[in-house]
Amino acid sequence: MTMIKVVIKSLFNRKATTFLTILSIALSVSLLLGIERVRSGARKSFESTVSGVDLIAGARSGPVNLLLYSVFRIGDATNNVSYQSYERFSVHEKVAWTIPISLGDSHRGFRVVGTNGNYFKFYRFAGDKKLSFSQGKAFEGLFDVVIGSQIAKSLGYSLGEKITLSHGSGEVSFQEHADKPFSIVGILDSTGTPVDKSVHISLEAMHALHVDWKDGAPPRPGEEVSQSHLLNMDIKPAAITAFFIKLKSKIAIFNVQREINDFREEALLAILPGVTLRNLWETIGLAENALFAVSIMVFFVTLIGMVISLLATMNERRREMAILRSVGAKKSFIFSVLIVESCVLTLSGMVAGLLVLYFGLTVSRPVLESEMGMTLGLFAPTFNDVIYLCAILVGSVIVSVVPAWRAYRNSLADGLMVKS
Amino acid sequence: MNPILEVSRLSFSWPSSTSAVLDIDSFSVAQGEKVFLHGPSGSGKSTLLNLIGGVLTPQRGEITFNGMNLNEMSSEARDLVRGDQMGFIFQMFNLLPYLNAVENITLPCEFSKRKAMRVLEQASSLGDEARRLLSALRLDPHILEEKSVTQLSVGQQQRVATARALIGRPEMVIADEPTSALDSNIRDRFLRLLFDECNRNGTSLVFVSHDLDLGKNFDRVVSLEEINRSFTADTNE
Ligand SMILES: Nc1ncnc2c1ncn2[C@@H]1O[C@H](COP(=O)(O)OP(=O)(O)OP(=O)(O)O)[C@@H](O)[C@H]1O
Ligand SMILES: [Mg+2]
Repeated sequence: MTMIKVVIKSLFNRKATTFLTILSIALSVSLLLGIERVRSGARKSFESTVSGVDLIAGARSGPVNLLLYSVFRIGDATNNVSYQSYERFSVHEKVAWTIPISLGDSHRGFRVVGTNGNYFKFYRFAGDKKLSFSQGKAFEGLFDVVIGSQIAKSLGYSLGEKITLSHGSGEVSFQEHADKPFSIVGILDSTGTPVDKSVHISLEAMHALHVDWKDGAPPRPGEEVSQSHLLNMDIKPAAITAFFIKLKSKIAIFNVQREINDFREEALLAILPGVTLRNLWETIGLAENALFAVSIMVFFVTLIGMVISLLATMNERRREMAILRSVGAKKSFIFSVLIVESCVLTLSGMVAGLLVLYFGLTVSRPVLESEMGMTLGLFAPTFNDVIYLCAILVGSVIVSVVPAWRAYRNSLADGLMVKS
Repeated sequence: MNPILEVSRLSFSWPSSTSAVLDIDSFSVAQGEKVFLHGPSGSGKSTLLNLIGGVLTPQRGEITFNGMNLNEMSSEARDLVRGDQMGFIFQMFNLLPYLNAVENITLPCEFSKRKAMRVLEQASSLGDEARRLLSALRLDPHILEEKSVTQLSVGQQQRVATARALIGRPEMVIADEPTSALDSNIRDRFLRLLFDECNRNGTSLVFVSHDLDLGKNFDRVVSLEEINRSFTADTNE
């Protein structure tokens, strides 16, 4: 009781240094916990780019590669999956539904995804969120297109506008499908996933764009098939790039995976997206570790700052310690005063740091969520946070042994009378 | 009268020096006695007070306070004796700047249950006793409570420190040059007030000063030069 009273009044007497010390602890605590939130938020939103999918299948290549082009629409597939193989598995007795993905074209740098109605019906992200339309509806006609929110925003598109697609995925393509314009029938809500940057057309449209192409080369003059002619044709897609699979029962995951991997007619690969996502995150997670290391260092600098500020006042406080000794304080009391003092500083810094953290989260949450699809939890401190806070407190007690020992030694040397 | 303090065959040297600062064959203070201790600067007066207060321990010899041999006690037990049964006043800057006058005066009661209990035997609260002591020392408690102790004059500060040394009726008050920062007028009044309070409770007083004039008011005047066999005063003073 006496101790707390002495410590608090003494700290209050040194308002400026106390305030600055608490402020620096608060900032480093909020930085540490904030980085932790961003870390777990980024990881969560990364891992929930696609959810509710049991398997992803594509032509045989590396699992990460398959994940990258099918989910993140980064890079290209080395091979296609024939439509027959896809149909074979889409009607498989253990399969609940499939979403086909066909890549290859682009629109002003945004990837074009050929798919079917299942995409809008079954695609899930961030746990159990469904795709929804901010305007319009799913494609129906052959030359209908549904665009992601970010495309609509950055290119300023609205419903009914006509766009043309280009062959290949480059920003600048010389091979425009200029003769076959699409009209925008739907704009999706923001998801914070690659869906926002995708142009969605039907598999049939994807095929139709290329019916007159031969061996990857555009049609020779005079051999083009016109858009009006295509509308009357019966188009059946020949190949897709990958497909998402949802099984009726999770128990069958490994069976079906093996069945796809052992498929005789075509070299296919099936992956568990959750596992591959996690592996991928671990490889790109180096940045996250660097961030964490920086915040740990910031924290150490803060602790050192606190010790320095305590040591700086040590000489002025020799008299204070001598007075305390003269009224009956034990040597251990003098030692403990400094320890308790740094605990009080650290605890106040933590409380202030949590306030800063929650204030920062409240302010930045809507922006991060809409711009980056990152949901930062505005929840009470997690178990992890509590561990960090305890570590901070323990750390501050450990480092405050330095000024405490100094005060103790001084007080022994001074006895009851301080010279000067 | 029984001695409250007895120092015998005491020898003390600082760890940093080879020769002893103090080598005292015998020095004692009777209960209620007021002893004036003088000696040149550097002769070891403050060192002796630290030994009596149990903050330092002699290499040889015994210090018996109120029947207890301080040397045989643990340092914690000595801290308790000091807190319970002694009161200290120093030359200057006696007060904790972050406590007000009353809080400064009642501070010893936070460390000593005995002092707190002895106060509460006679007063209704620690604060009341602090205010009583302040008025006995001719200070207006109401004015003091509004001011920070750092805003008080040196004379006022010394009286607050005296009240702190006196609270809880310790067996002995030990003062190390408490008047050296005061002018002679205030000094004489201060001394009279201190004596009055000591007399009220039969408190012994060991009072250190350079100022030999003050000695005449005391029961006994002791020169450290005379009792200390290894006398080493600073030669340049
Ligand atoms: N903490 C210390 N460590 C080592 N030597 C000390 C220490 N304090 C005092 N001394 C030495 O002990 C001797 C006595 O010092 P002390 O302070 O007791 O003298 P004093 O009689 O109180 O002098 P003054 O009248 O100036 O206060 C001096 O020679 C001093 O240098
Ligand atoms: Mg001295």
